[in-house]
Amino acid sequence: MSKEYKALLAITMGDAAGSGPEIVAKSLALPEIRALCRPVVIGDAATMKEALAITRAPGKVKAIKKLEEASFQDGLVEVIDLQNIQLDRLTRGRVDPMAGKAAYEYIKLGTEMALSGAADAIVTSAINKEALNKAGYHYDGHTQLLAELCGVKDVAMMLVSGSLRVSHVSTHVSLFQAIERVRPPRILTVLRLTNEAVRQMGVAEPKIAVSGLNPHSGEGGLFGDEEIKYITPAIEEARKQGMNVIGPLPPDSVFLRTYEGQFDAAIAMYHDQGHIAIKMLGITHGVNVTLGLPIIRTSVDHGTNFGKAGKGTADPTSLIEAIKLASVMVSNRRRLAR
Amino acid sequence: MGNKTPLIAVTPGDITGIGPEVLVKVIRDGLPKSYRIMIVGDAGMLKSSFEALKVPFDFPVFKDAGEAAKSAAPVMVLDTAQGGNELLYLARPHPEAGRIAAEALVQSAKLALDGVVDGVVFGPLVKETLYLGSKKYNDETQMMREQLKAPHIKSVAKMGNIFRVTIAEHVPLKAVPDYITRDSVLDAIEVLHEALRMYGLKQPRIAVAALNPHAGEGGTVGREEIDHIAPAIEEAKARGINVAGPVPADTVYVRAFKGQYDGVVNMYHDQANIALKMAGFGEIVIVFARSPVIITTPSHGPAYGKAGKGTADHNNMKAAVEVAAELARQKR
Repeated sequence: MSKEYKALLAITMGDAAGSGPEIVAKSLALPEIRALCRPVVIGDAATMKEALAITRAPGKVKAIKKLEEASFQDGLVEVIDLQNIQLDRLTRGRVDPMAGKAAYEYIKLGTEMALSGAADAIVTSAINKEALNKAGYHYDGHTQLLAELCGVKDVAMMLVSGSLRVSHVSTHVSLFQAIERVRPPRILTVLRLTNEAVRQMGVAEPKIAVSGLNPHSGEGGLFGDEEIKYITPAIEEARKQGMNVIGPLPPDSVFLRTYEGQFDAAIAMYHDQGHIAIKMLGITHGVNVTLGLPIIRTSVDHGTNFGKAGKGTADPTSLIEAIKLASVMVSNRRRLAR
Repeated sequence: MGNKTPLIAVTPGDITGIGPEVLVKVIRDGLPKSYRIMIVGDAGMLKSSFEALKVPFDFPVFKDAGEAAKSAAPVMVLDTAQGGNELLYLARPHPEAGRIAAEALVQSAKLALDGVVDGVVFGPLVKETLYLGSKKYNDETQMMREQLKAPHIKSVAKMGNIFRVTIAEHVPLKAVPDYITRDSVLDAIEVLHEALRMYGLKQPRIAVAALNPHAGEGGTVGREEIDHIAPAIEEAKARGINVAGPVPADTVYVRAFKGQYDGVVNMYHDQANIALKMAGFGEIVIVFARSPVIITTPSHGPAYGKAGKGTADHNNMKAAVEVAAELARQKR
């Protein structure tokens, strides 16, 4: 224990036609990142070489076949090279099924590495849903794909931006369907997963706030009764199970109060409820964490940013934060397991 | 009238709450030379309110509004002789206070209709009290519509530099999709457009928020964008309005606060309010659009819990007065 354990992170390169490779190159050049973890990129070595050139990031790309070959030396960007991008055929800034297929393969390998324990966690770069679909992989995004690869069903999306952590009862469904998902078993699952994740993020006894669904949390049934029928019973059950949970609180103040430090996390009842709050804090800083997987997975909270691909100007903040958060979660998972 | 500076009638609202206090504090701060204030209320009650905050009550008091308007004073009082001194800071809803608030508001609005004043600001009140006092009106919009014979009055909100209107505000979220039709969205766009033009923007830029996540993502997560919202936007464009959307609700305010839009049409209550709270917006001013006269009010209620303590924040009331004065300037 003389030396702090450094998490081994499988970092996927993301969609090669987007700004993912450049963001990875920029992030791995930072001494603070190298001091924090042992990164290995799952991607295409030639694409990464070009990304280092575009961003003028210091260091060299080293293509490897297996994780065992990685040395984690400063100045080396070690890439498990799937050789699945033909650079002369790639058009940056556009949907390209080749890049979609490649992105899928990075996620698949990264997930397998995390599942086997070879990697401590997977950190993912942005993928393009359309490219993924055109390559024949029909998923509505990372979360669904990861759940399937891990063989689990009960997953939830948490967004983290600074001091604000928000988990979502549902994400990519219509508002109408989202309302139907606001039921005690699902709320309880999201509470349990959030409680676990926040502990992994370093809070010993998380205090979690649950948002209402309706304006003013329904105001005693005047503007909707889901709070009374579903949300309050779920909160009571969570308390019985020993969790420190408060709510339902009015949706328009619960996220600000959480951000201000009154709670360690908040539960949003639908996609936009949580996303509006997070995005007001600045689009580039967010981290997306998938809860409910048997592995630790963090991700950037932005898209492929095709408009900036190849220019070297994409902002790496979100990936840097995702790497830092994964490292913290790995370290706490080890500590909690002891 | 002779005097060119806009004259704004201001009522204290529900006198059992913080209304009189925030009014006194607005006056205490001093007024710019660009507008004048006619306080419409009971002179005795007003005197007590000023003295409670140790602000001298040294304004000319009139019984006749026409005479009051001729005064060159920056602040004057139109004494409604409604009484109510004993209700001051009672800190709970009271029918008599509701009646007094409603009467002062109606009287002020009629002064504006007659051209005696240029605009009206009414102090904080709640629907419940208004109903208790009037035995008739559920809210101030309904009262204004009937009293001013203007059935299409609608309230919009101004926060910072952005105006917003919400299609389904105080309804269960489950019911919101029922309110989203091509006509309701088009009407909301037009109301917002009118309000922004009233405020002096010649070609305001309006964004319409989507209902579903990612604006429905091509119909895969909800069809309201395709079936109702987009057609309304197309029609508004055809009518010459500069309008964009449907914009995903989680970025519409990020963009608006960066200066990309002047106004936002929201589908439901929390779309706007979560963003505003996160942005730290305290002062939201309610503006009544499609009204024959200029009327504004602060967005907060009478805050009975704070009544009579002297600690109430008056910046929202002040903002309401300033917005009314600006609207009056633009109207000229």
